[in-house]
Amino acid sequence: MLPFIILGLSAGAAYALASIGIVLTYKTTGIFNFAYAGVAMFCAYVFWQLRDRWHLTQWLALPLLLLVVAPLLGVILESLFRLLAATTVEVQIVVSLGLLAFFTTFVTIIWGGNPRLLTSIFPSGKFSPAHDVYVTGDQAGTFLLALAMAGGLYVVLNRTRLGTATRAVVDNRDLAGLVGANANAVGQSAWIISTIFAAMAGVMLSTEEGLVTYVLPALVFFSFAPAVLGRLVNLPLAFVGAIGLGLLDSILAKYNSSGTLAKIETSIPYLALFLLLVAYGRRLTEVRSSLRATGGSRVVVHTGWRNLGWGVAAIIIAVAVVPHAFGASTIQAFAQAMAYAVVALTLVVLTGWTGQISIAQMSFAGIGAFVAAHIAGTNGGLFPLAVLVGIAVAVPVSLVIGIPSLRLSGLFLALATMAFALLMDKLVFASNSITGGLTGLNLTAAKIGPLSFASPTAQFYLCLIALSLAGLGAFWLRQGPIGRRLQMVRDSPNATVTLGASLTATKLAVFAACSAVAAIGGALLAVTQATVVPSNFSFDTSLELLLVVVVGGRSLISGAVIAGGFDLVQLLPLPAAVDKYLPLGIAFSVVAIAREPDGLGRVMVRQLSYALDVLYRRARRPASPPLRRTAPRLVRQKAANRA
Amino acid sequence: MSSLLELDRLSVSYGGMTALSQVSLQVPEGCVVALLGSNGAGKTTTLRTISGLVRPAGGDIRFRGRSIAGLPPHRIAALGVVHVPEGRGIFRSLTVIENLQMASYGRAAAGSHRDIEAAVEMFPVLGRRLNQAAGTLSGGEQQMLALARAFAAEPVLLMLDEISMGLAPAINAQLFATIRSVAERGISMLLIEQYVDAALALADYCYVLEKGRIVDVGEPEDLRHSEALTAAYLGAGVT
Amino acid sequence: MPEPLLRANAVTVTFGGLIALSEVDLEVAPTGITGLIGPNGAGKTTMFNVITGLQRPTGGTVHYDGHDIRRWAPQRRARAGMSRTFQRLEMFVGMSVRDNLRSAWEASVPGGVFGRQAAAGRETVEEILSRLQLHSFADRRAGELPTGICRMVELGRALCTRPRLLLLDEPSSGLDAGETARFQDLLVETTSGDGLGPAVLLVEHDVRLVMDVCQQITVLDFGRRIAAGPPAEVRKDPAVIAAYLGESAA
Ligand SMILES: Nc1ncnc2c1ncn2[C@@H]1O[C@H](COP(=O)(O)OP(=O)(O)OP(=O)(O)O)[C@@H](O)[C@H]1O
Ligand SMILES: [Mg+2]
Repeated sequence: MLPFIILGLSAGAAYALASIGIVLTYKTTGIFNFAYAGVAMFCAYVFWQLRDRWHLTQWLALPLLLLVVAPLLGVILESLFRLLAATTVEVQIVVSLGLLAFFTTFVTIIWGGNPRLLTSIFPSGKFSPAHDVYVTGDQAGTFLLALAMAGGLYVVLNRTRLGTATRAVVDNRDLAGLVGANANAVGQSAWIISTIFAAMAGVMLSTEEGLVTYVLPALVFFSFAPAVLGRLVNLPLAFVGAIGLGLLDSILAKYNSSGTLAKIETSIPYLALFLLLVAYGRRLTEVRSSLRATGGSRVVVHTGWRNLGWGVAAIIIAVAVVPHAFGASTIQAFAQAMAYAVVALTLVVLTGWTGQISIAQMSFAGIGAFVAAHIAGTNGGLFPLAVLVGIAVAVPVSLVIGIPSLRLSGLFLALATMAFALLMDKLVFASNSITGGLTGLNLTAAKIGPLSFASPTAQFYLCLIALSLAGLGAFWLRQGPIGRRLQMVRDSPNATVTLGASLTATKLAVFAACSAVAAIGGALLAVTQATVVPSNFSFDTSLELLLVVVVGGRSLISGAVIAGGFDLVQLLPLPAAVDKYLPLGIAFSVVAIAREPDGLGRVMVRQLSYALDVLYRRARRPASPPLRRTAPRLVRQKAANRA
Repeated sequence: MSSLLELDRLSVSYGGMTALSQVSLQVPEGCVVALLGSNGAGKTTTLRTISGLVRPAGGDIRFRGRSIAGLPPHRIAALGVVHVPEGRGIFRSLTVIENLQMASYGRAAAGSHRDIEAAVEMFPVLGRRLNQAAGTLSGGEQQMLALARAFAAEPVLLMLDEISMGLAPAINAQLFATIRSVAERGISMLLIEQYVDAALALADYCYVLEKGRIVDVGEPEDLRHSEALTAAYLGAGVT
Repeated sequence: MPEPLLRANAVTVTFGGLIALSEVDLEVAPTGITGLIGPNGAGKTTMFNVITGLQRPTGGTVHYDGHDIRRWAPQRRARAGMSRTFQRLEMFVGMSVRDNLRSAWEASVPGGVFGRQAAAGRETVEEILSRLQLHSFADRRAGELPTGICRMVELGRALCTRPRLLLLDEPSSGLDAGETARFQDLLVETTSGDGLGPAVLLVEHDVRLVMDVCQQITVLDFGRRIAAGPPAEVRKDPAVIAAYLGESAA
């Protein structure tokens, strides 16, 4: 037993480095940093470059990494996230995810994709505390270092003024300035500390696991559960949780599990994450208490019918152009993009309108897709039935997830749905009998009555009609009392219930309805893709969907359409390493430059409305400028001089 | 002329709308100056501009003769300008004691244990709540905490925005007494107060704001019957 | 004396070791205005939360209209005619003022969220908008309005549910003198007259306002009830003067 405990302790120490890093970053910067793994990985590669490639001695390379590279990176990160201090959680999540993707791509471009070995920074050799039991220098070193770093952080955060100040800045930036704290400097310190920590963790974890681009992110996802055990703010608890997780891991390994048990074993961290979130429930609170006061939700004022006009125009153009101007594969791509847009629409309703962040919409789509493939795979005529069954499966699943977790708000709901999506990946989509394994299942000739959807053009019309109906439904929802109900829930839960509306019922209804529509979208995806593979519905794809929806416009129907449209980048001849990240990056920059929290959709609507205004009453009166801009300095100065 | 704080034709606009135009006022050393006027007159904006939360569009702000317009809030706070913003200036997720410790983050001179103790003595309720998260305090307790923080910061100029809001009458009476004694120690004050009577009783000078402009100024005695003041409050509630 | 609309018996609330309310009794008559006053931290807002179901009491019972409502969810209490405003504003900041009121009305009517009786709802909303003189703000986004207007919108929102019991938590804080005077008139007008208006439970630190409008007043201190009765009695009560009013106000 003892050897397994030793193994467990050192594995636990590795988790601890990650989960403490998550807690540290969240507590001192207010950002739940998915990019933590990216930063850690990047730093580990830099260390490898310094020590193993350039052959600097370790005692030069390590200080160089920790005192020069990491702080520099921290400063850069701070200036990026400072811009997001006042935005909603989903935007922060998305940006940190985008950053993770950026680091992964960047590292791959510079250092190539091949795994590398990083030898331990600790002296090799082992000692034997008991008969037949050995502890390697690396194991002991990792554990002791993790303990020391956790202790040091605890002291800095709880016993120094800087620790209090970082939390004060996160809580209320303006007020921090009023009491004399330089919010930018405090924020920088926080990011520098957290980046140094990430660098150290990256090096330690990479010596355990090797330098591989996909291992570190997975490890960090594992460490979310211990971080949540500490409610994202309690360092000692997070540490203990991580050690516990490591021990559990290695003790289960002792019983040499295989088959189902092994599968469950790898999903324990996610199961734990979900259960912890549910158990804590409302006791989980976010650190940015000032968020609501600064008007977390900007969305409103439905300009109504004109937007509907844009939608109709888009449909007409699509019908008039796409089936005639393009080849079969392009038409199919359009069909698939629209199917994605249907799923994206559910995310707009959930996240943009109701304030519930879901990172599991593609899992629900997957349910629809695989049910469709099972039922209608050999007999296309059963497709309508398959869609209904897909809904009938997705809705109960959404209730099972929703009933315990919808009490959670913002970030914590996002994490719960994330755990669900990862569990679906591990336990359901990975099962050959359900999904056909890596090769997937086939759905070649779906039919509705006499209509066959084997041809790309037919698929195009099918998806167009589905998207139009879904869009119209969402539009109708938004305009009326239901739209107001969603906004109520988003803006003030307390006022909602004391006015007589049920919070749980509303949230649950929306969640279930959205999962039903996502399942329909999944069935459509199955039709357009012909072969349904699990990787198209994995957690990563849900994340990506959230990303494109935020870029497209998380509160706009057009945002969902744009999000689906990002799928068309597969048509562009781009090098594999950058593939969709380049266009996404560009789109993101546009949104950032226009300073438009509502994304590309809003920018476009505004530009189009502007153009229309100009056309209509060019001569009569000046139209309002399309982009929000403060008056140029010169004008302001003149006004001041005149005054 | 020894004005501690001087606003010189200060103008502020929010996205094209003028909030303050050509506001000039002075807070002499050791004086209590009150800003009066109805809601939306621009009082809060004035304080926020002085403390650096809002950038002026024109004009100048001088503190001890030195221009502070456009400086970031923490630099202004470091000079001893302490602002208690409207609506509970507290860090909700920090505990009461941590809030008090933050009082003087930018100033080494202030915020000693003694200062904090003195501030807590002023509001004994807080003493029993030192380790409670500030966000769970009652409305009035939060207001007291904001004030205690300000007093513990050893201000040179104290700017108070509607501090009596939500405080019980007995506490209020005590608070006004405290403010008077603080003023007697030579600390200058610029305050906004809805209870006009209380403000007039406290202040050495008053300025009356209406729609972002100064419409009247004078000593409380002169203003008590000022038409501008009555008009500014729509003729209601002023005795 | 008529049966009270609301009766709280021996309500106790503790937060960890802290006793926020200790065996508090409170009665609200079916008409008129009842005051609930006391020093800061006495437990007034906590009492509101207990009555509206946002806070589960550690002990004690609450009867509303003859029913024991301990197990009722907040929305059920609202449907039964309770409505409240919040000391710390809880606006629907993303909606226009009109939509704030409309959504409140829809929340209070069965099927309202599906557009049932929409015409009647619009009428109620417009009527309340004009009663509170909010028409000029009707299409402004609630999140960008000054505190004074927000207090009025919250009041309007509460009125839109056509309550039988209206709970107001420091409705005049943040109002200027003019606005307070107008609010007082409004309050009296809403509750008086034909007896159709709601019963009001009012938490307020503006003593003049409370003494003017309330028929009955309950005083809390440190979570205990220290006095109850008509204003004239309460304001002379030495315990109340010592704990709350202070010498100057006596
Ligand atoms: N969640 C909580 N945790 C701990 N203590 C709490 C919590 N909520 C309230 N309290 C305490 O309970 C007491 C009563 O608070 P309450 O908000 O009811 O006071 P109040 O009478 O409304 O005061 P005010 O007039 O200042 O608004 C306060 O001392 C407060 O600090
Ligand atoms: Mg209260």
